[in-house]
Amino acid sequence: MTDVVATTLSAAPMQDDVTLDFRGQTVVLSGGSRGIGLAVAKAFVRSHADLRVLADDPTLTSVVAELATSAKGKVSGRIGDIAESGAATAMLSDIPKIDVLIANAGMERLTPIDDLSAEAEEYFRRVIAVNVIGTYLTVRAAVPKMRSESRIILTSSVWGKSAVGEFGAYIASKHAVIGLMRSLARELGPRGIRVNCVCPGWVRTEAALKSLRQMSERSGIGEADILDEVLTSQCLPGFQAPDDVPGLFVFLASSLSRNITGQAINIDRGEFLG
Amino acid sequence: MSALSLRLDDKKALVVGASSGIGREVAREFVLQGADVTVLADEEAIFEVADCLGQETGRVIKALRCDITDRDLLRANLAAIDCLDILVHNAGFERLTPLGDFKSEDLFRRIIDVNLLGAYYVTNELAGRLRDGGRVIYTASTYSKYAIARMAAYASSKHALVGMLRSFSHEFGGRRITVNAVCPGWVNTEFSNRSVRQIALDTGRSVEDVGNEVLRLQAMTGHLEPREVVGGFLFLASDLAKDITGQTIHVDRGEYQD
Repeated sequence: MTDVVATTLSAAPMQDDVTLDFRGQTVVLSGGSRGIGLAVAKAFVRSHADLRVLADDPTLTSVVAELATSAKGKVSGRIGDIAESGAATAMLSDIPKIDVLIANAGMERLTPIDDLSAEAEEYFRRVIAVNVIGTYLTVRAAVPKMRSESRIILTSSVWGKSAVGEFGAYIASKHAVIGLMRSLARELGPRGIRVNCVCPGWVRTEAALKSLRQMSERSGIGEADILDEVLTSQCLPGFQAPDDVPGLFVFLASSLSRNITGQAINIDRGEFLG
Repeated sequence: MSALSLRLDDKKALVVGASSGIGREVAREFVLQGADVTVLADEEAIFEVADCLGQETGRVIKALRCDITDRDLLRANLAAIDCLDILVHNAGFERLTPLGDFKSEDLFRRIIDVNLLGAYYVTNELAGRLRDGGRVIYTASTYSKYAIARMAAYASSKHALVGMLRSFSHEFGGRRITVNAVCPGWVNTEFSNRSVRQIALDTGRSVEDVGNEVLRLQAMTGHLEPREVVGGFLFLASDLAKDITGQTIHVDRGEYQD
């Protein structure tokens, strides 16, 4: 509602964006052997990217072979532990340039504060080592191969902004990932590199189902009842499947989002509004 | 496997506040993506926008002109719409309302009327006509999350708009209709440029100095053009965003981190 009269309409349509085509672009994805990561891998294969998948899981070899059967671009995998110093650098050593980095690898464990076992402490350290330090090391290995207009996407969680009990390590780690993303967005923005987070809600993955089982065991409330309570808190009905999530990754990797940086966007059917 | 798509073929869309700036560019992109678009604004220019867009794309673009805060007039105009897949509510109004300026009370009321109540009226009128699986997309602002001085009315209206959409996202969720907002940063539009000029005048600084101060808040350099904000709207309107609701997406080059 301004007093400016439209006489000409500007520029060309966004034809380069509409197909979300990543032909000729190198996408590096960590934690791509299962769950959300595997669904993201499939989406980028469909979008014709050259894809490098990193995972600590020996099944990666067969996952990559399966992905390659339908791929127009190159698909390759490297097995290693991103929490180990130098591992991410080694897994990317043969890649000269990276257009998109998706640091998605993460782990989820129950870590109640009243569990005084050595095992609980070890889990806590391991969750932080993989989710926070591993993410940092993956980004650090990738940035030298990036240029202006490269994109970094970190997988956080709605639990990067909200919390439930007994998941202290995981929730601390996902809050930390958002903090890391915000700092990196400021640091890399002047170079034209964008950094954002995807925050999935409850998604039907092995990790989420395991957490659900553990929550049920500790609380004595049935798994179905816990799940029902979660789904009732969502605005949109139903339990998200891994394939419901990649659209946001693809958007943040595309030039459609070229003016978006420093954001943590929820894809959770409206579980957490903020 | 087919590639992911942003196409809006056969979708019926209404863009409210489409006579210039961001709204006009959103309408244009939606037409190019195959949507059947109606545009609405409280200005004669809306007919010219529809004509230009029609000529450029070879499509028929319907235009409606009315003041969205006039409920009866709004209802009469919206009678032309029988059903809708995508509502983009972009109509908004920005003026400085400094504390202690007793002349700005009417302006304050008007900003709340247009930006908040107008959005409520339009959504309320069309709620029953939105198809299952549809989209409601509001234009909020970075000032829906923080504020600078002299922006009390505008920032209030945009903060409130976000609160309203979060409530609406619960109400629409059962029908799989998502409700979200795009929060643009400082975009080169007549409204924001006017605010920058006014701030410069009020504070005795140069327009350039005030503008640079805003740009320095961004993680990335450069002044956004209206067209550069469109990607956020197209994404939220597309199938890719079907599981995103009750959210705000900042398209602001990292001015505000949310």
